[in-house]
Amino acid sequence: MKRNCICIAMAALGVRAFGLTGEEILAKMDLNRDHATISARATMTIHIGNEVRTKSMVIKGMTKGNKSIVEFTNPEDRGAKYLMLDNNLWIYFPDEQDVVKISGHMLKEGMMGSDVSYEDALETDKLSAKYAISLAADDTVNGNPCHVINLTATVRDVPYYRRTMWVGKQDFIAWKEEMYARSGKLLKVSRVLAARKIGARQVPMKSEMENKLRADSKTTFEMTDLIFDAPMDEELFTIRYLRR
Amino acid sequence: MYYLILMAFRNIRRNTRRSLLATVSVALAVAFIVCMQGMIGGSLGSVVKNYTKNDTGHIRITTKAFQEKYRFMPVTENIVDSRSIIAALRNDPEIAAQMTTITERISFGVLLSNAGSNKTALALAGDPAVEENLLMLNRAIMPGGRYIRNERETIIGARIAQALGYHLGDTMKVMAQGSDYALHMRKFVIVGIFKTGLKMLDDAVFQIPLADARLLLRAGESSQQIIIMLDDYKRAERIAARIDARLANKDLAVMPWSRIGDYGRIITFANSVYSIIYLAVALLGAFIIGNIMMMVVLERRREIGVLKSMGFGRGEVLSLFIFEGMSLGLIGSIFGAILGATVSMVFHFHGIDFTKALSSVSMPMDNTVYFTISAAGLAQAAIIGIMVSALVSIVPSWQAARMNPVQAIKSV
Repeated sequence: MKRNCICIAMAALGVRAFGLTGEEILAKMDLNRDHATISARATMTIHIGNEVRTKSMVIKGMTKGNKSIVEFTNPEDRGAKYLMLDNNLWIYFPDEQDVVKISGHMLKEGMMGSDVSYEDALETDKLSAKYAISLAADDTVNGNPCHVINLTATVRDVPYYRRTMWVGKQDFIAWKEEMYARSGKLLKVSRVLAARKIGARQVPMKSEMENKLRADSKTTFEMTDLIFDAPMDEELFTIRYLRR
Repeated sequence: MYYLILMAFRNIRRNTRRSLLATVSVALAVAFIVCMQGMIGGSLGSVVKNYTKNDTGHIRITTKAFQEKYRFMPVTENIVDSRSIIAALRNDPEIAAQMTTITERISFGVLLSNAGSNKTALALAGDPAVEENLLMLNRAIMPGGRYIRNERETIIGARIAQALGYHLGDTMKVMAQGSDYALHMRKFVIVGIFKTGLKMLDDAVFQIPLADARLLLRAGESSQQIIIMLDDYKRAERIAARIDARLANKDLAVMPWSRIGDYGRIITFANSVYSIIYLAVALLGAFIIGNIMMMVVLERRREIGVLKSMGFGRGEVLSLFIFEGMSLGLIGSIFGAILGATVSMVFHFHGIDFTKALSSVSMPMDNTVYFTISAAGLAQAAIIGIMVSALVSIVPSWQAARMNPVQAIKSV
């Protein structure tokens, strides 16, 4: 009886210790992104063949209402702004002093010509709401032991039909992600190159995205001056502010 | 040989009704061939004219990378030093003497939006002064509008305007992916709306100045295409090879129009198919000559026997009957060529309106087809008529040549 209890207890412990469900893993990832506001400076370096382009920007975001605004500060694009409100995107073109709403297939275009699409940037919904999740065998990425989870779309309104994520067992950062089309074709691969603990959160500070549909192309994205939960005026996230 | 020809012409007068039947048949076939040549020549000529002036030029210079992705009209594979290339070609006396126009162009696809409606469109960007004589969209501008004079001005196809609810004076926002792969936008004022009658232009094209396109696409001073028009488009292959040798740049593709896209191959293929059709029509028309010659040989067996007993060899008998067939074909072909030329001349000036038939077809072909006539075409049709007449006369002539003179004389 005592031995049976111990065995049952150990088995239960074993399930809890090694058997996180896919949903639980995603929930722990979401904790890293749990904030009221975020502000940061960032640099996006776009490599296409031998060409390298660098874009610098200031990012501000508010979880309430899924709002964010990006203003470019590098000389070629100074004054260009992106406003994302929930799943809608507006772009301000400073040369034309005008705002255009981007929708439909245009959202699949790369931001400023990068490998990160507007769709990628707009994605804020919880993945568990749109994907069926299953666990695969554990793996290691850059020395980090990872859970491997497979996501298959359950709705039509997703940028990628299937995704595979390598999520760190200690930090619940998606160290690597592969994104696939319905046909099975690999579309993009993203990797986290560096992460940092800020408060209770593990935050990817430097990441890389490869668009497999474009030859010899990758984009690295690096954040600095990252501040969470600072007070922020909601007026920042309006089309009126975009035109200023 | 001369006496055989004289004999042949005399013999065909022996049964005028039968000879008339044969010549009319050949004449109708040749006339039909001449008219078909005129209509096909007019149609294909219109396709070549529109295709080359609107799209490829007689010769087009691009980067090889662009040529590989030509269908997608990329703006990321431009010619960086297009001006120096143009200067080099203008300084070559042999090449310069053949060119009537050399200019730069950028073509790119966009999605236009207005008042909740979307439409895919093709932007054609060039030097407005040069494009007046090349695209010639200025000639189709509807009343009230005008051609491009300044930057940030555009003229658009009538069907685009209708689909998106644009009017003269409206501002059109053009958003496109630039040479840096990023999205850019530029506003244009609609100063003219054109209606060419060509669906592929009116439904899909708008023209902007090249300078505006370069700013929109962040293309610097580069160009996507260098378009060259020649005195004679038929020389395009030869001159393209000369230009390629002159430039000697492995990154450039110098292409004659016939090797760009599908229309060149389609036109070459169509010409081959129509040549076979002409041959088949001529054969049908001349078939009656073969029948008549069979009857003639049977009727004149005794005469053939007498000729052979008088010393005519097989070759002479063979030649005589072939000449008779050719004589019928010659007369029929001459009359047929005259008849066909007369009909073609009428449609050369008045044309045939295919507007309804072409209304749902997107082809670079004028709605009204004007027949073409040429001495070479008439000669070709006549020669086909004569040669086919000779061909169908071979079998009965061979039968006549092989006859045994004694058996032939004995026959009743």
